[in-house]
Amino acid sequence: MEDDERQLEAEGEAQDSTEEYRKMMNYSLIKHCDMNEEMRVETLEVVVTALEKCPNHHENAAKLIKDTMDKKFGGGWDAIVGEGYGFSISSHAKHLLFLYYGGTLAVLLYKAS
Amino acid sequence: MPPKTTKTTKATTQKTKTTTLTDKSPKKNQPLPSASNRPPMTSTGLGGFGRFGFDQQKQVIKPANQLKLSETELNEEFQLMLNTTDSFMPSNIVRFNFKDKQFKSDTNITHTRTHFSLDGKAVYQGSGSSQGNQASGQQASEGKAKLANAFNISTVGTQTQRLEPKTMLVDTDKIVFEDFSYTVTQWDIFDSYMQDQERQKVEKEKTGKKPGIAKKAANQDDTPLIPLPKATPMPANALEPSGGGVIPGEFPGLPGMSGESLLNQQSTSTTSNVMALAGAQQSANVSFETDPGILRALQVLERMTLQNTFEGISEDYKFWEDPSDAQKGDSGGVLPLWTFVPSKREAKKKTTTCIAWHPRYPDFFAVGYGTFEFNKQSTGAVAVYTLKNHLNPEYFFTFDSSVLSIAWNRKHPPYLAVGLSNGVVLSFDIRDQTNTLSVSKLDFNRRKGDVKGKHTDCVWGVVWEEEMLSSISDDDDELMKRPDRSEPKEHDEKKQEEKRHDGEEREKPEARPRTQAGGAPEEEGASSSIEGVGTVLSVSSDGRVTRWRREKDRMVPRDVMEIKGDTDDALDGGEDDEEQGETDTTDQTIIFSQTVSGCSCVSVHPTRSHLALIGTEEAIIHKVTKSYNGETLQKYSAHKMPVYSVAWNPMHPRVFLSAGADWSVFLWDHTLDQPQLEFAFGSSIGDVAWAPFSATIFAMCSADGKVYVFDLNINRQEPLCEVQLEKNTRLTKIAFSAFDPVILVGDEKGKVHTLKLSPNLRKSYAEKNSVEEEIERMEKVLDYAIRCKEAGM
Repeated sequence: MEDDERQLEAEGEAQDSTEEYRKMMNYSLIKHCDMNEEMRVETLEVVVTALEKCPNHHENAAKLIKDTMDKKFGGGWDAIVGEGYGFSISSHAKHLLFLYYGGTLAVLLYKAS
Repeated sequence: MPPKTTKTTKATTQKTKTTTLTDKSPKKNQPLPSASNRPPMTSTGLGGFGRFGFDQQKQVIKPANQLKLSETELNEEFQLMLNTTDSFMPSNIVRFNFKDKQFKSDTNITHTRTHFSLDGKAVYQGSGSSQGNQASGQQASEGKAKLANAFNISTVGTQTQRLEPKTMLVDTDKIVFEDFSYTVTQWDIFDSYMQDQERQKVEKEKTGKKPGIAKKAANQDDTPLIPLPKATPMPANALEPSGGGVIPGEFPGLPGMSGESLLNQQSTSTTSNVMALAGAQQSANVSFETDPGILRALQVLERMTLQNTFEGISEDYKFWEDPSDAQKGDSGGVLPLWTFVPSKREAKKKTTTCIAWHPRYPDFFAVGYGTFEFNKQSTGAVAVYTLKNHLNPEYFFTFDSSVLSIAWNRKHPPYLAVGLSNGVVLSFDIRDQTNTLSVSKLDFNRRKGDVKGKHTDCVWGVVWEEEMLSSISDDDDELMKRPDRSEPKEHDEKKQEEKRHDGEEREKPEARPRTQAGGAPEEEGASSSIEGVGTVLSVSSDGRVTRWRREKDRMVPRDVMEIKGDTDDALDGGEDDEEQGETDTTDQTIIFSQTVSGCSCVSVHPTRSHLALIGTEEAIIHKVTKSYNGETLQKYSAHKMPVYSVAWNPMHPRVFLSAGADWSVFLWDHTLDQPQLEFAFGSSIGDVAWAPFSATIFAMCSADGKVYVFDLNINRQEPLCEVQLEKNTRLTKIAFSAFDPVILVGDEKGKVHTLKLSPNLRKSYAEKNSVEEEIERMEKVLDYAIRCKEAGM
């Protein structure tokens, strides 16, 4: 019993800490970007807006990002939103953005051939 | 009734209708209208036209030659027959029939002439075409169009618009693809955020500001997550002059590149472990132009392209031997190689005033630019070139006034001494990438009012004092001694070096350089001043010989002696009074009515560095010694105009040459006060130089653009080579390379020509005679000269 309680407590703490951590991490952290300054700023806006609009709906968010980017910068964009994946892509030079968001999500956005 | 006469043609097959027309009209019965029966001609000549009704009897005019016929003849009837035969057609046509090969008469003679024909549209019903029409089923109108109707074909043509083809060329940018791969995992996200947090904390501590969003901070460090290729700066080589240091901004042909080129990547990252990389890479983010690795690479590239472009010249420099020399007998030629034209603005349109090969590096030399015209004083410049790059100098320095003399320091390769026309002498390390050193010296000097003791006139010669000596053999001494004048060698005792303290002043500057450890007593090694580089002797038009030593950032002068010229050519007497330690610049003339002689050239003896020759503007050459208080040992006067150049023979210790504005060059034996040989030319000689590999070869350049090369071993009167280098340009300086048979000739337009001596001119070089042999040859020349003199030539 005691073990169970302790376990529950530990879990509770863990959960609290994750909540804390999530709150702390509520910003975007660019891991890799080779866009030029202007493009990067705009793109970042697009991504963050989209992610905020559709919390927990990765597909919708990705779709929103992709459509907006197509409109703004011309077609051919691919957007991937997820929490755990591996990838290997070929993108147009200077049209790649890879960022972390909110402590859990990773967004990959690039212009494909 | 008169008989009817009918005309008929000959037998014809055709039907010829001959119609005869007998004219029996009543009219014809009337007599032919004669003059009398004609209706009277009116004066208007309208006989027969009764319109106007002139029927009255008028005067009848008979032409004089009218045929007169009798009555019966007049009443005669004549018949006129009209035939259908064409009277113009020949009646017998004979043609050559080739089939039968004989002449045959062509009986088919038509007499029909068609005046008009018109094809009708009516078709004979029985003919073939009409049958065809009916057969097609009464499609007469259409049938016409289908068949090639001989009677009715109409072609309709239309002209369509011709579409002009246009060629359009479009060049699209190449779309570059980059690959990117990564694995997203929750722990990696977590780690990244943690690191970012830490980084932000650190920054907060540093700046005390609120940490911004991670992306903003990330912009500062341009470091990629995935390391992109960065140019690692090559280790900066020890910048030796031979390697060629680089001067930013002097670098030719560098495109204006900003700092963001290869090295700067715009990727961002905020992880702190990458910060370490960032620190390292900050150094890589230097400006493209100053990165020594890049500059070195560019320099190599430049040399390569130059070598490839001017391959011919490089090959000639190394390998060309003029084959025609074998036929020319004794004379030779020079092959022009590179021409160095200053590209810098400061050196354009300036005269080359001095050339100095580097003593150690075979391809290095310095050229001084300035002007010899003293009305227009202007800035001067020194360019240090290498033969590998004749388009741009390796180093370039500008000065406030014309550069008149330069000298390399033998022991310390990068040091160059420069004498300017405003009397200042500078020495500096050419690797100092800005010439602020020289400029600061000038500034300093100017600020201080004046450099105490600097020359008041142009500095014509600068010489480093630490000339290395070769070992002096006994024979050499003997040679020096033979004509009964011994050299003052007693001074070569070891003397203490004067301690260089700023405040300390000596009245008699006996600056004896400290001898080197282990050196021969006569050997005067490098003087160890504070700088350890050496001191510079300068001679100038104000008649003073001054020694300059380096102190921190400036050169401090100290007079050694004065060159006096007086009317009495006293050899021993008239010793120069030694000047006080620091001379007042205004005090030029000496108390005794001796005037100073402006010096125009200096040459230090190759083996005895205390001995020097100074040529003056009074056409007298002084042999001086630096020892003791500096004194003139001997004067040589043979020139009539200022002496522009003196040069000791590099091998024979007694011989020297002098050249002057009086169009002549003299060869002297320093023990005799009359010149041994004289060479006269057509114009004033700018410079004369001995070849370093021989005792008998020398070259000179003259003001009419000619270069002369002599080899006294072969021909004692005439030059072996006389070459017109430039038209209408004065050649100012000439210098032999110590390593290759190449001479540099400078002219007054600022160009420096490289000339390679042909084999005939450098026999000694090829033969590689020893010094003794060369001296032997020179002795023979001297003997010859003496004999000539005795013979009264």
